Amino acid sequence: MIKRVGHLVVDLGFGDAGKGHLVDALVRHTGARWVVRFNGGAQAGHTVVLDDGRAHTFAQLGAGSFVPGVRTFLAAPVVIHPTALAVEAGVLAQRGVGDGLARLAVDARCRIITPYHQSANRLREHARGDARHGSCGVGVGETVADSLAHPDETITMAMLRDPTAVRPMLARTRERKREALRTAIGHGNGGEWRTFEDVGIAETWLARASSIAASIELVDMGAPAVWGERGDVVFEGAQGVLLDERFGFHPFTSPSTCTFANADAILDAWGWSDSRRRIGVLRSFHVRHGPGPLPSETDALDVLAEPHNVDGPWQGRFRRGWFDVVLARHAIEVCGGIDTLALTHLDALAHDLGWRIATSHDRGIACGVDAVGRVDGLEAIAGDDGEARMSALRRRVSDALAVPIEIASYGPRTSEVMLAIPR
Amino acid sequence: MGHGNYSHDAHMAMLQARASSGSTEVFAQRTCHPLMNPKGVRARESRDSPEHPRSLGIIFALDVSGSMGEIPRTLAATELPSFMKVLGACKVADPQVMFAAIGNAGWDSAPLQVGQFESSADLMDKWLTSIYLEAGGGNEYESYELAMYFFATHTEMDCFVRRGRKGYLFITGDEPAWPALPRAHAEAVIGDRLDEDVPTAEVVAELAKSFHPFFLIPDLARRAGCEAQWRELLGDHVLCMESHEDTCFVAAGAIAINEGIVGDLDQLAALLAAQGAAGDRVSRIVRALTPFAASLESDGAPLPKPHV
Repeated sequence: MIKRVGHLVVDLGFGDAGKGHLVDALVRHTGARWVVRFNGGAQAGHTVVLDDGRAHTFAQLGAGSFVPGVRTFLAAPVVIHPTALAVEAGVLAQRGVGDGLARLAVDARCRIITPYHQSANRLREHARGDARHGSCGVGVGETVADSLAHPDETITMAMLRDPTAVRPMLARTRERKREALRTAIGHGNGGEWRTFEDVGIAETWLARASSIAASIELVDMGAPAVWGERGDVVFEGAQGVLLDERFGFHPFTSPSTCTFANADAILDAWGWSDSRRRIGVLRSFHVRHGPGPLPSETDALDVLAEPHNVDGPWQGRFRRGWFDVVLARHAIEVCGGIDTLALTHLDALAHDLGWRIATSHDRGIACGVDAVGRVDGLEAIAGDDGEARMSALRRRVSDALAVPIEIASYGPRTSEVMLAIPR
Repeated sequence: MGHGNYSHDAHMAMLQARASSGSTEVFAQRTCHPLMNPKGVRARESRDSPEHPRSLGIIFALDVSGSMGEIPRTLAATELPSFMKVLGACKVADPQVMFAAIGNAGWDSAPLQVGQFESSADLMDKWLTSIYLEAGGGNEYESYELAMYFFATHTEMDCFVRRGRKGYLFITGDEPAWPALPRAHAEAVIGDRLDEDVPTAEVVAELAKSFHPFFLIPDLARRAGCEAQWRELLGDHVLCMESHEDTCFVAAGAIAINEGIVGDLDQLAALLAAQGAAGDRVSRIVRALTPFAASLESDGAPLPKPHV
């Protein structure tokens, strides 16, 4: 029997490391037939840029979807936004891939974001004002929290097949969340509050969500039936280890496991006996979209503009800092080690920006509030030209973290990803 | 859009759809009316009858995405009765009108809704107000080509079958069609299995065998986003209006000119004025129809003198 490899891709920072183009490149390089999403949900934004100029930011469809026939499986911890799925598939269709939903399979147990969760998340984040957590305004966290506190109201992918059962759950959720919000932040009018005032929202949403769900393959137990016995599988992590609910820096975290743990659990449940390659992804500089600690932050890198990561109304500013060895080492440790590092955005070093890496902090990293200290050691990355700086950074990072760098990317396009791993 | 904000767009589209529906809403439908669902429909028929021996099939296909929802409301509230009157004045003997609604098959729950051909304003109004104004959208295209495919392949009209006279299709909209009809959409929405995606130009060619298709842009501000593509597809059959309130009059005028019922735009203006249309409105309608009329040399402008 042919040996298969599960390629587990996890962002070791705060997200935005370039998982999209890595997943697309890995799928093409290994001939993988499946991409599995195993954490987070509709808030993901994994951008793939093809050589022909087409680009798509993948949120719920797998980042391998530009490759014909490659399928996406949304595994059980993933939180689903059904109407956004349809919007995304429609946008992808305009980019020449018309069968996005047809190639999707979703675990029957996946939890569903309702308009009540999305609006509640937005109302709460808005009420926090300057003290916001950097939420994406999608409702993933609200849905996860509710599923633990109110399991009887938790709508799953399977339940959307039976709207009559969902209707009373929606009514209860609406009442409960409206009261909870009134208590928490006081009553308001218009805007997002309309979601709770207009009883017709439930019916409008249910009609759309159930018709979308009906067109998607549902997976009852374990792996999709058409899984087959050949071909590698790419596990596409969302967010980043430093946003993990256990290992991130509270309260600037995500209610999601961002390490390899979910992917390992899924493979274990399938009885996967073939090998697993644990790929940690980091940029050549640390980035953070929105508030929260970023010890090596510097405005020296603000010149590195990006079309796909703009300052968002919900997440806030896109911030940049020097590559932080201390944060990287911490992330590798808490996720149980990696087989290789994928270092992305190396092309940024073509700009002569006085490149540095952060090598030490004034205190160790703990978990929780004020977990991170300040950078007290910076080291210059010298080089006469871009190429010299790129290889100097690669070498220095690989040495400092004691991991090989078998994947490196020199631009946003799939063709700019260099892979030194076996096919 | 296109920066991963799909959940935001989905959420806001739904809130906006709800906000635009007041309590006195005549469009009460909250899902696709089962009788307007095109799936599995063999054909919508426009037939001659003893009362209407020379029927002429006319389809109004209304884009009901986001910003286009005003047109069906205006039609229902004020225009439909006058439309029948104007058609009568234009001596279009036995018009049979079918209403249809167009959304986006990429994500709308009711991307295509089709009524039946009717001869009385009452029944037309029933179909018109049974449309579910889903108000989706927020995108680059709408599924006009899917609707055109349905009209081309799932209608039977006595005007055409018996008399070789083409019917009329008026599409209101403000976006381009998809470049090709995705076969997945044809199967999901209509139930037709196609071998491959059909380029929209081919759909139009098939449609034009039995219909005179027109695309009506509701106001001048929206021309930029869609006119060029529609000119490629339909040439002079793209009518740029200055107000969506003129939809019925412009459509009636296009039929009157194309059928040669009125000789030129001057005659049409007189006829519209006689029907009680105000002077500035008549001017708007005439301006919307001028390029089309000119293509038939029915604009009333003197022809250039031949060189001797």
